[in-house]
Amino acid sequence: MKFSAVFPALLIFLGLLQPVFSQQDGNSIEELQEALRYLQDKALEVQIHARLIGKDRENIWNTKSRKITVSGKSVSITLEGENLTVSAHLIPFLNEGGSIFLVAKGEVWVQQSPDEEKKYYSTVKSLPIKPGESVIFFPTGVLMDTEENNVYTIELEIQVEPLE
Amino acid sequence: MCYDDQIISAYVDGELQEKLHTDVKNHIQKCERCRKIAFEYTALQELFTATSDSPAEDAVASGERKARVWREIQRHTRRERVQDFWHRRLQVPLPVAAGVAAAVLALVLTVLFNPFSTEQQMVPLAMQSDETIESIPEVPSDFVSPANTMPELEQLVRFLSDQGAAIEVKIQLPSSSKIQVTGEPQLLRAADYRRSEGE
Repeated sequence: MKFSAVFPALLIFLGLLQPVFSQQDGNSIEELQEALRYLQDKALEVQIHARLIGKDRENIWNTKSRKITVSGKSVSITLEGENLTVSAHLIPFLNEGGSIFLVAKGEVWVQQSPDEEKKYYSTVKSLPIKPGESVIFFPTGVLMDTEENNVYTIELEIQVEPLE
Repeated sequence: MCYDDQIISAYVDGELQEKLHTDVKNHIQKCERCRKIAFEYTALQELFTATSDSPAEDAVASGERKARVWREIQRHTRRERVQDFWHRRLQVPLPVAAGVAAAVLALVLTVLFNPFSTEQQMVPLAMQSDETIESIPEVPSDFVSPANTMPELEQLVRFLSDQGAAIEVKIQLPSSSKIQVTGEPQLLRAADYRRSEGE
């Protein structure tokens, strides 16, 4: 196979160009790393412990979850039950002093019995908290004593702290 | 009658017989043309027979002349080689040619497709969460890839804040569980709530 001598010259030229592109890659990597560091500084870890509390305040079911978000960005929790759907939106704001301002919005769609219409409740609550401090969100109202079996209250225990 | 040039040359070289030598000599003294020819031959002969006083110097001068001539020849041939380089043809084995072509292709692909895409850079952040954690929301299809435009910090933050409530946890409550609605949602400090419970 025969080639003109221009071919190796072209190869050398491309080889010389490579460092230029590598330099650009290096710049973009540095900027990305800077952006990631910035995001990590604003990152928050949200721990959610959902519980169902029954008769005699017995903890009959629970599940834990952990989410990472950034300050001002909400974490949504949807709970699907037999007669209701609960949607809770937790929005943590990280203050400059390191404290956290937690905003919780609760939406509930409930049908107490097949004869009744579906009802909708919505509320927004907010609370300044310390990092790692536990707060409890009751999307369907505060727990009350009940004598009935299989009637429960939802309790969401939440902890927010900066991601390390 | 004038003599032939070769006879005059032989006369100058002293190669003629005595009688002819004398005849030619007498003629040259009378004939201007033949005298001129004889003079040229004589001058040429002197030039050829001219030598330096030292044979060693002759050898050195001869060597220098040879070297100079050789350098001139090399200089000319090198210039010809340089001129021909861009037009000459190379004999390349097919496997070598295929390998070079593959290397060029890889180089071009490296240049065209930046391997350090943003998605790859996002990996360390996502890896900080355990298996139960969902990472940062997926990049939508209409998002302009930072591989094409340099990702500005503000753009990145704006992108994340524009995503709305994208971080979601779905919990399926146990079946046959009837949830009691006792009032509007409440947000309480756990310490305060447990203290009130204790009372």
